[in-house]
Amino acid sequence: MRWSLGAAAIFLGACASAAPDEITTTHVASTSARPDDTHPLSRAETVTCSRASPTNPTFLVAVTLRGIADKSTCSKIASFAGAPIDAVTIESDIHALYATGKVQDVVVATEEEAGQTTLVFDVVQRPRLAALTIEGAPKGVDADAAIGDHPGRFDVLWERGAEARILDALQTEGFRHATVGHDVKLVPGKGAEVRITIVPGAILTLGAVRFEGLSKANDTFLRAPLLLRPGAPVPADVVERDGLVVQAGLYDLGLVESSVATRTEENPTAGTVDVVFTVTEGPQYSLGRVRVKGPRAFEPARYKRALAPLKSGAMFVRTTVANVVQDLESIHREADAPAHVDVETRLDPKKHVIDVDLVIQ
Amino acid sequence: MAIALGLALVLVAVASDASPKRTVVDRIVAVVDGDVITKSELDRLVAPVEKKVRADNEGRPDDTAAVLARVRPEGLTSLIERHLFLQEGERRKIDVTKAEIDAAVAAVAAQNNVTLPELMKLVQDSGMDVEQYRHELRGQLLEGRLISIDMPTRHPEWKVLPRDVQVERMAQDRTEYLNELRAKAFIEVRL
Repeated sequence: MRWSLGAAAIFLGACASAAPDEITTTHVASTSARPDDTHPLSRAETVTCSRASPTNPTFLVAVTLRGIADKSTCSKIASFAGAPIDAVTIESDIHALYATGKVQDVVVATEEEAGQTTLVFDVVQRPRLAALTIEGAPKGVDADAAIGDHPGRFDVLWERGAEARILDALQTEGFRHATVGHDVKLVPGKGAEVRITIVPGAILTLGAVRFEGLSKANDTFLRAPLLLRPGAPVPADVVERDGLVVQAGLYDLGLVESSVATRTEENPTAGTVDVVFTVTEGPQYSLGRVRVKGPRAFEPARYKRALAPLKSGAMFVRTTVANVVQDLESIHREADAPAHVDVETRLDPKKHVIDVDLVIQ
Repeated sequence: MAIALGLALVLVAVASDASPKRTVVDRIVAVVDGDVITKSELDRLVAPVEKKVRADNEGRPDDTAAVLARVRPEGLTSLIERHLFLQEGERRKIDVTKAEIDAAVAAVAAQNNVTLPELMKLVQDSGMDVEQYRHELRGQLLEGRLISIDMPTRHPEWKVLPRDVQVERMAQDRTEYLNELRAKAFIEVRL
């Protein structure tokens, strides 16, 4: 939070110096050795990227970068001396400079003196990442590994991503209520010192997976493919994944109008959390008419054999339809007549029947 | 000491007179989760609006100034929202094809009872170029797709709702969706 305020203050400063679209100003050179490490708006360092002596007085005599000492940054910009000012190129240069990851703000201005125009990119560099400390990581959670490589300069987006990755690592180990905070201090002459603080909280593991609302669907069938296991941690992404798996299982039981709501119930004294899938089943659909459309490569009997698993009147099973599609594509490939098979379905909500067309493309 | 101070003041005055005339041509006006929005992007968006405001309020400078003062902040808000939806589209791998944009352009022309060349002329007269107009349409189509794709899940009765209620729900959902995207994003405004 402290950084947000700090960043806001820096940006206010940048706006204050650049907000008017037409200003006349004199830059006072800073005496600091590393402007990016001291004051973010320091303009002690200037790099001339290109210089020319154009005959046309409206053309640029020089293109310079101010606020950055590294001349290699010039390679990121396409504006050059000896050419007229080009707004499209300048806009693309701003994007390119920002994309280097070193830069947090850019103001582009023309400076006219004695009838000559210089294009100046006033750059505010991101502060160097001088130090990164992580406090409070519990045993078994490698926060450094979770963060991965860090940039040489402080970037709010990177910092937010790092926090999210640490939180993921904590939740994977069962720390469901862990919090991760940070503190950023800008130290003159050094850069940004970042401290990430972890409050892990208690470990909660899975007590049970429960289903509610089942009448047609089989609990064992739905439970088999789940990744959630009693006694193991309960990461949010696994809970979400298993919710989708349950939904897919219901579709494979002809329950194509079904829905699944997932909730967790915690029991802090036992150190467990139950995951509850509440199912609204709706009607069970059976397979109606099954047809093959589009250009055929074989005699009808071959298609009939391929369609054998799709029996009219049987329960509609999405996986079976998908397998038949794969079989059809496979036999077409084998016969050097590759085809893509689309599935078109029509639901009859009164009769609870699904007609299927397999369209060969 | 007095002499030294006087000399310093003279030097400052000389420095000021000799300073170059500086004109800002472009800069970053906002960053949305690492996506830069430039002043020129904002200028392109608001230029047709500013032109219309000036034409509508001709002879009423106070009204013009009052409306113009709101145009840029509102334009920037709109651009930020557009970037949030574009990023969401990338995350969810949902996009709009060239053919869909072509169809939307044709639909706009039909709604306005003009031919495609006439529509393009109208677009250019408003201060926008054709590519910018197509980019604008792409953003609108993507936004509509992102909002409507979850409608049947969020509102199970969606298919049977009257059209006006659907429109109202979409507006509500757009606001909620944007609030969610804003909450997740890191947005810096430097207007």
